[in-house]
Amino acid sequence: MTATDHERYADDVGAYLLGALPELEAQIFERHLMGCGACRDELERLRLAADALPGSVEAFEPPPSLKRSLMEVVEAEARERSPAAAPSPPPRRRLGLPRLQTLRPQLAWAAAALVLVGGAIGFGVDRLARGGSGDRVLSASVDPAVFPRGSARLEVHGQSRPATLRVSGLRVLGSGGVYEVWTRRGGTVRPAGALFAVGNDGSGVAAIPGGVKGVDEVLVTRERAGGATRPTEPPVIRVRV
Amino acid sequence: LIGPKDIHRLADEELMELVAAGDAGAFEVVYDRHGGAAFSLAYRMVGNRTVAEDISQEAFLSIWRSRVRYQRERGSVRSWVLGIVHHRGIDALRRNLVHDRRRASAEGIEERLEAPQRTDLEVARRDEAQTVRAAIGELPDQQGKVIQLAYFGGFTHTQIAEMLEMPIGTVKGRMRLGLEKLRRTLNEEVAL
Repeated sequence: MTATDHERYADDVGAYLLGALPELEAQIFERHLMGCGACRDELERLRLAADALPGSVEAFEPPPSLKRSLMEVVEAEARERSPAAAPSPPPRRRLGLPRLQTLRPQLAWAAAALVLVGGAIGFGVDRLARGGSGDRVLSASVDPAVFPRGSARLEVHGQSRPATLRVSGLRVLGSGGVYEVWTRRGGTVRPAGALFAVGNDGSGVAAIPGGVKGVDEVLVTRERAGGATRPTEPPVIRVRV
Repeated sequence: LIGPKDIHRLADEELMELVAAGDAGAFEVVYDRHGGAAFSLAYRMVGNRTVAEDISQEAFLSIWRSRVRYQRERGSVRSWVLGIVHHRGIDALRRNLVHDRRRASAEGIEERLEAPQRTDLEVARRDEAQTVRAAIGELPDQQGKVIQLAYFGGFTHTQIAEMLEMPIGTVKGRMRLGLEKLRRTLNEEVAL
């Protein structure tokens, strides 16, 4: 870190706090922050002002339906996470958002059995099973340089129904980080509408609401909280569909 | 064990520990405390009730699903929640989800859903809002403008530079100076 570096980025502090830096510039600035104590101090000082801005907004009451639909999802997911939970139907949701859920024991055993039958271990894409109804479990390639113990699989339940991506051996991302799922059709990569985090054991689940019809590949990258509109790094997970 | 009544007495940071353990009741209390501010911020940014609801819901679901990520040393739960809402609001604006980019102003909101003044806390927050608004109002015109265009309008520094016909460096400088002045003004208010 040189004084020149600091001078080059010093004025970015305000724009960064206000969300006015484009994605790539924000990432470059974040990298600069790691090595520049002066900018970090300035950031924390000015953060007080930026954090006060939402306080200037006129208060409006959110509609009760917002809380109702939110809590329906949350309570259903809390029940699914509970080991003693009985199976329950999926909750009604306003948004086509991904839904995280823990691995149901019977499904976990079924998937594990499929892995053994298919003999698919580690890197590479293998079709493990294909049910009569179009259900498939696809293994994924996980970048071993990033996650040496990583593994993932995609459960496809028919072409147009939500698909489920299950991962393990990943790292809990630091504050502000999230895993984002993408779909690739030909040369076009789009957000799959699924962000997820992993637990302390490195495992996590993401649902791809639109399924994988016409999708060539499902990808996962690490992005800032809230996700990105396009991948900002090479995929750490790939599943050929 | 913490009963349903006790849970309302917990501090936000303590609630987040319960949320991290998958406690939906604790999450509901967090929503009750900050859902209004989240919705209001989203509404202020996008000027559209339906999109504001979607942004709020996405933000709170991401909080529920990635709840291990809250770190108390990084600031208050409220700031953290509103930071996530702000990020999602910017994302919605930049993805052109809001076709009508009219910014909600005091006069421009057709569907008023004003929150009632229910508690001392709400009154205190209303006072705080007036204080922050006054502090923004004290900023030199161009500094206030670039801050509002960036924070509430979701515009990048490049877009603002084009809009205001000024160099990017000037825009960034005014953002920084504006925040610095805002910080000083708010600190003076607290000291009084």
